[in-house]
Formats: sequence, structure tokens, C-alpha cells
Amino acid sequence: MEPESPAFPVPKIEVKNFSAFYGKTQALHNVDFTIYERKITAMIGPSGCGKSTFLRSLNRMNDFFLDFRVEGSATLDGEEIYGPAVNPVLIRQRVGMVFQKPNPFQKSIFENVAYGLRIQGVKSRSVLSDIVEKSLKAAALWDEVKDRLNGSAFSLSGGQQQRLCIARALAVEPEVILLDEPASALDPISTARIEELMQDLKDRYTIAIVTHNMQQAARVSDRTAFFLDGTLVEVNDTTKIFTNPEDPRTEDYITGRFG
Amino acid sequence: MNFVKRSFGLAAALAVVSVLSGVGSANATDLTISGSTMLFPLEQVWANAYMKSHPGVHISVASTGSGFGISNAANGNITIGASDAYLTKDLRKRYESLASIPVAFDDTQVIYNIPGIGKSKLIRMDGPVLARIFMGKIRFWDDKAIRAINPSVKFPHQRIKVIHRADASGTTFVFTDYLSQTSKEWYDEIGRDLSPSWPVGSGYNGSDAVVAAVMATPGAIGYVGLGWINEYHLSSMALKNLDGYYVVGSVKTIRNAGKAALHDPTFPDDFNRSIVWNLHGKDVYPDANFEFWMVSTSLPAATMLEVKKMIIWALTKGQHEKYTVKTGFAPLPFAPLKPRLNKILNRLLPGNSLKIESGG
Amino acid sequence: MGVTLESDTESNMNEGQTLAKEPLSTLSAVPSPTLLASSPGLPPNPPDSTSEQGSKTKSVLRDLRKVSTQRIHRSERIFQGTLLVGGLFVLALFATVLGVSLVEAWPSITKFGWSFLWTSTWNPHRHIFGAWTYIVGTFWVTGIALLFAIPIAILSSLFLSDYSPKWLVGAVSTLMEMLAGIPSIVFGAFGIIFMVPLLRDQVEPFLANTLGRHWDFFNGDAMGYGILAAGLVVGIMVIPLVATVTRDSLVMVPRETVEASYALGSTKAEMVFFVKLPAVVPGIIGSVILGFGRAIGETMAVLLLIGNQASIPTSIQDVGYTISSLLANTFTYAVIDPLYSAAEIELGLILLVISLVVNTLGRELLMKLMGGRLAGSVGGG
Repeated sequence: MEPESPAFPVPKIEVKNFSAFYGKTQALHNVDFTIYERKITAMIGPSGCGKSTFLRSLNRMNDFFLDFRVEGSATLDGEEIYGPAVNPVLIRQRVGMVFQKPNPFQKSIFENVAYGLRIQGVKSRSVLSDIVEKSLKAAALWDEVKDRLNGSAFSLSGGQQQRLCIARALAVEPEVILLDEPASALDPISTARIEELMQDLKDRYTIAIVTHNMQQAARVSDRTAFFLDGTLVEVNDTTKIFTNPEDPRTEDYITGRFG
Repeated sequence: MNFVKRSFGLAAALAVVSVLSGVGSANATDLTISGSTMLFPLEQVWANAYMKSHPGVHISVASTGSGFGISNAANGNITIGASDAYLTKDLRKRYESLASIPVAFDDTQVIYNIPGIGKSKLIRMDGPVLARIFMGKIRFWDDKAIRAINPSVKFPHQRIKVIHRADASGTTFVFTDYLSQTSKEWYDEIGRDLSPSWPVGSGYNGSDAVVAAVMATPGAIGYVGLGWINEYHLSSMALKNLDGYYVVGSVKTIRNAGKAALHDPTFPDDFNRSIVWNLHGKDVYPDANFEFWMVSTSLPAATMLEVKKMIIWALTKGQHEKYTVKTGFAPLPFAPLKPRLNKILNRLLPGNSLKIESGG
Repeated sequence: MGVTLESDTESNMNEGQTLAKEPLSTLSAVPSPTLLASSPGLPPNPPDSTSEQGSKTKSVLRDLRKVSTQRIHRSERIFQGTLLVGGLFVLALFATVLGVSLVEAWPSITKFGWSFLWTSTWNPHRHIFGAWTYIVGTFWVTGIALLFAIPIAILSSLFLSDYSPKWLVGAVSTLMEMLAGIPSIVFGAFGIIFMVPLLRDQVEPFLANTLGRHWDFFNGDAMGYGILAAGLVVGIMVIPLVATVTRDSLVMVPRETVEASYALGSTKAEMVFFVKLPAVVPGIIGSVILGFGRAIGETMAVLLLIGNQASIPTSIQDVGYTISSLLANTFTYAVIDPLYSAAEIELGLILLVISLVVNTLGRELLMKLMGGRLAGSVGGG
């Protein structure tokens, strides 16, 4: 894999005319939107605007709501995410996710990171150790936990737990990482570390992040999408969105006039 | 020790009284009868009939097991204790005040479920073989020993499944008494008891459960009293008696056993012996027994008078077949019983005029 | 039975004690809000405080507060007293049961000593009493019951929590609750009319013809009655208990943890096996302890099915005897002999002690397992 981003952005996930429903309630209205490879795309918008629904639609995490359904097209490398023959488990192996609240398993630090590999059938202890170390290093947690890999994941602080969750997601070598407000439950120092980490990861992964925090979106992302009432109002380069938005609603939002 | 016993007895007595006390008037004589579960049905019909003909007397009946019947009667918690077993030497020593009054006949009969052998076929059995079966020493129906006493019966090669009572039971007492008297092995290793240590088999609570288990289990052998044989139309084995006759239990053969016992001058006046085995005669069933009422000689005189009246009624009018045979017992033979009973009654309340004069 | 009673007793006692102590110290040490409000200077002076009406209102208010403070004191004390009586009553009850049993069992305890536990002879006739046969029988039935009940209960609760259609969840939960409320004698009767013939005609011949060819442990007389029938029926009675507790703890597994597993590309089965199951282990252990308490003391159903034979089972098809069914069968007779009844009461005490020990060990284990989790959820942040 090349360390540098290509000159022209390559589409990773393409969404066309995409709508999502919980029963009779329509949560997303005809979204058209592309997430580019090895870029950080931020999604902002007021609560209930559909940004989280959108994010969770990308690795089919909404399938667990019994009456959830989608219309339109969402593709990963040109392949329909919601295609009839597609197994959501395979999609999720390629598109990892980190959640708002740190959610480690009731297991050791080591086993948390090894979990995804274990369920995929990796048994060799040396391979597991190798990948666990690499993932923890990539998540900038290695130095803090290397002496207590067998300790409970719950013995870590909240910020460490969230980085553990990131390491856990990295261990299965996803192509895309979805971050659903990953720092909203953390203190500023932990948040800063997560943001730094995203910059490091950007070279190797495609990242999509939902955030409430507009400064965070401005700081970390290459592109930003603004959602409002289930529609995608505007998507553009982050600098453009924050300095010269095209839609007045975007401007109202980022200048704090509502939301 | 006594604290618990007394409270148990008290609780039992209270329960009985409270159930039935609504019927009696305030100054009525109250008699409480409890004990043997086997005798309970007969006591119920007796109590009803007696209360009808004797207004002012109130009788409560409860079924608490022979053990409680004996101990509560001795403690004075109840007026009459019912027991399936006579007082053994041990018990006589412990409960000196108790007098045992025979009130009906019962027996124990051996039932079986042998595949391929119909009800009409008579199976014969003697004490030693039966004992060896119940000790697990004879394990198959086609064992030499069984075939030897039943030359005309074709037995299958089927495991024998011994079925016995799990609860303490007078039926068991009578059955093990027969085995003890006929088999030295049994006498030495197990002995007679209401609840012996069974070497093999499986145990069931109550005679109904024994019948059900025998019927359901191919190869089973078990034992129940006359009442169950009649009620379920079971066929039972003919047991060998002292004179070598094989006799099937019935009202008639049981009564014969009773008569033989009472005519035997060596039979004790206080009935401290069972009437199995050691009796002569052709139609004498070798495994019958008396059912007893136990009365403490230390009851107050007034109560004792009522108790005696009740006993005399039970031994005369109460022996009618509509009471006894209906509930699974054989009536006592009156004539040979009279002198012995009068002795007992005299022991209960000396020098009184109440005597047994004529049969019912 | 013994187990639940015991744990209730203890928690009630604790409650009673804390409630009895706490309010006294609280009231004297920390002033209640009412007291604070009535202290001088705090209530704002109304502008017309100099007028007669104003001072009258003030004094009425002050009296009101005084009275209500007294009222709170009194009602609190009455309430505490009532609770104390309840707590002490339970304590006294337990002490009485234990004390009377000990006194009654004393002749047997002094005569046989510890050897009572491992003597397998039980012969009232010869005055030799030993508990071993009945202890073994009790553990056989309990063991079979739990071995049967636990997997079924866990599987059914996993099915209900993750795989079953919604309408079935409600139906099965209701049925489970009803199952838990059925008297044991009904299960015993069910055992006789259904389980015994099934075992006798199908299961036991099958076992003898398959596993029995290699291991005598599966051979036998094919009676239907025996430790297997008793164990299975008690198992059926234990299932609702284990299933309910397991389901409750499954519901407690955080949604986030489940999602985390899915997000890592696990299938549903992998999620259930690797995430849900480990998370409910403490709950399962707790329910197994409850189930053990239920199974070990179960009397009526066992008595009807076990075959009540004082022999130590060597095969799954054998008959046996449990402590509780022996007591139910023979205690009314044993009372005619002091040593006999003492031995039976000592058996009852053994049952009590086994329940207590298992209950305590189980709770310790549970605390250890749950403690880790509790500490974990507190430590995050």
C-alpha cells in the first residue's frame, strides 16, 4: 500500500438516491454522497438529522431493527452493500465501526483485540500476539497496556477503552472505519489523542466520522457533510464548508444560529 | 425429644378436632381415633354409623400412620390409637400402659406381573423361596426353586423386579413376619418391621402405588392387603401354610386363620403375636393379621367408659360385612374371641358391668 | 426450599438491623431539611413582620414544624419497631428450627458421631443408622436434574432472547412462569404416567443396547422408576428457575457490547457464543444455585419416582433413595423409637447444612465474578 494519497480521490463508498426507513418513519431522504478512499469524511448536523442512521447504514448495523429498510443504492468498491446475495457479516468485516460509548468486552485487553481474529478462526498464538501488538500500536495504546495485556479491559480509563475499541476494529484489517461520535464521552485530553490517532490512521484507512462537535469536524476531516432533517444539505471540502458554505442552512448551523 | 413428639401429636389431634368439631354439641363426648392408614376407611364408616346410633358421642378419625397411633395413644393425646402391628417386646416395654384390642382381620397377599402367565393360572409360593426372591437371591422367574413348586407352570426367563412399600406399613409388617417365621435367612438378616431395610427392589408410597407399579412393570412381584386384591380384581399367589397346603387369601381363609389362632391355647391373651404361619388346617391362610386399637389404661374413667362402649359396639355390630368386607377386612369370629376380649376390657376398666355378651 | 429460606432470612435480618440502627444516628447527627428551615434567621422576613398578624403566622408555622418533627420521629420509630419485630421473628424462627432439630437429633449425633455420614447401613431394627446411602441418592437426583435442566434452560433462554419471533417470547415466558408455579405432586404424577413408561419402554432399553454395551453404568432393569426418572422430573421443575434468571441476565447484556461484536464481523451465533454467554455466566451460576436448592429438597415428585430403595446406585437405571423422600416415607413411624427419629432428624440437618454450604459457596463465587464486573463498570471514565 502506498503511503501517499493519490492525486485524484478514489471513491470508496458511493451512495445514490439512498433512503432509509424505520417502519413508516423515513429517516433519510434520497441521499447522494461519496466517501473517498483514505480521506476523513465528517458528518455533522443537529440531533436526529439522520447522520448516525446514515453511518450505520454503511455497514448494515441498522439491520437489527426489525422494521428497518432502505431504498436506492449504496456501494462499497462498486458492490451493492444491500445486494440480495450480500452477507452483512462480510460487509462488517470490511467496514469496521467504533461507537459513541467505549464498549469493550468483559475480557482481557488482549482478548478484546484478538476477538475479531478469533471468530474468523485465527488460532495461532504468535500470529494473534503479533496482530494485537500492531493494532494496539496503531491505536497508540501499546505503551500504556503492554505490561498488562491480560488485565481486564474495564480496568482502563474511558479514553483508553475507546482507543482499545479502535485497536479492536483495526485488528481485523478493515478497509473503512466508521466512527460514531467516538469522543463525545471523553475528556478533552482523551479527545485530542483520538483526533491525533485519526490523522495517523488516515494514511491507511478510509474514515467516516459522525460528530456533534464542529471544531472537531473542522480539525480532523478532509470533507464534511451537513445533514438536516434526514436530508443531505451539503457536502464539500471541509475548508469550503466552514468558510464559504453554499447553502444558507449550513451557514446557519455552523455559525451556531440553530442546533 | 418429648417436646416435638407432643407437639406433633397435639397438632394432629387439634387438626382432627377442629375439622369435625362443628358437628358435635357442646357437652358431647369426644373420642379421637387416629393411626393406621389401613384401618382408616373402616374407622370412618364405623364412626359415622356409631354417631348416628349414639347421639351425644362425637368421634373424630384421622390417618396418621401406625407409629403415631401407638405413641399418641400412649401419651394420651388421642383416645384410641390404630395400629396394623401388635406390640412387640420392645414396644410393650416402652408403652406399658397400652392394651391392644383386635378389631378386624387383614392379610397380606403376594401379587405379580409375569409376562405370558394369565390371571387364571395359580402360582404357588412358599416362605423360603419368597424370602430369597425378596432378598435378591432368586433373580429370574424361571429359577429352579420357583419351578419346583410350580411344575405345571411355564415361566419365562425374566428378571424378577421386587416391589415393596416405601412408607412404614402394617402390610409390610405382616408380610415380613411371614418371611421371618418361614425363612431363617430372612429372620437373621432382615427381620420383621413396618419399615425394614430392604435388600433389593424398589419402594412405593402406599398400597395403590404398589399395585400400580406391579401392574406396570413386567416381571414384578409385590404384596398388598385383601382390600386391594378385591378392589383391583388382582390374582395373588397361593402361599404354603404350616401343614403344607397352598392357600389363596380370601375373607374365608383369613377367618379360618383367626379361628385357628384363637382356638390355640398357647395364643397369648394380650394378642402380642401375629397369626401367620404357625397355624394348622387345610384352608388356613398363613399370612393374616389382626388390626388393633391401642388404648391407654390411664385414660380417665369417664372417657374409658365411652371407649369401652365404642369398642364393644365395634366388635359386635361393627363386624357386619357391610362395614368390614366393604372396606377390605374380614370380620372377627365372635365366639372364640369373647373370653379373651373380656379379659382385655376388664384390664382397661376393672370391675365394671360392660362385657361382650353376644355377636352383632 | 432450605436455600431460599436461608437467603431470605439473612437479607431480612440485615435490612432489619440497618434500618434499626440507621435512623437513630441519622436523626441525631444530621439535621433534616425541616429542622434546617425552622432554624432562626433562615426564613426570609416578610415586610409586615412587625404586624400582629405576621408574628402570629410565624409562631403557628414554628409550632407546626415542631409538631411535624415529633410526628416524623414517632412514625419513624413505629415503622422501625415493626420492621425490627419482623426481622427478629425470622431470626427466632430459624434459631428455633435449628435448635429443636439439634436437640432432637442429639441422641443420634452422640451415638454415631461423624461416622453417621459415611455409614451406608440403615437398619432401624438393629439400631444402626448411617446417612451415606441417602446422601448419595440425594446428590444423584440433584446432579441428574441440574445436568438436564441447565443446558435446556440456557438454550431456551438464548433462543428466546435472540432467535425467537416476538410473539413466541411472550407465550414462552408466560408458560415458564406457569411451569414454575405447578405443585410438585403434579410433576410427580406426570412422571408416573409419562416419564416412567417412556424410560421403561424406550429410553432405558435404548441406553442398555447402545452405551450399555460398553459401560455397565447405562445398563439396568428398565423399570422406569429410579434416579433417572426422579432426576429428569426434578430437572423439569428446575428449568423455569434457571431459564428465568438466565434470561434476565441476558437482557442485561448491553446493546453496545452486542453491536461491538457485530461490528467486528461476527455472525449472530458467534456473538451469542462469545459475547452473550460469557456475560451471563454469573447469572447462570446464581440460577444453578437456586436450582440446586430446589432440587436437593424436592420431596413429593422424587418420592413418587425414585423407587425408594436404600441402595447406592451404580447405574443410571438404578433406583435409590433421597434424604427428603426417606423422611416423608418413614418419619411418622420413626417417632416410636427415639434413636430412629433422632437419626432421621439428623438426616434433615445434613440436608440443611448441604444447602447452606452450597448456597454460601455459590454466593461467594457469584460475588467474585460479579465483583469484577461491577468494579469494571465503575472504573470506566
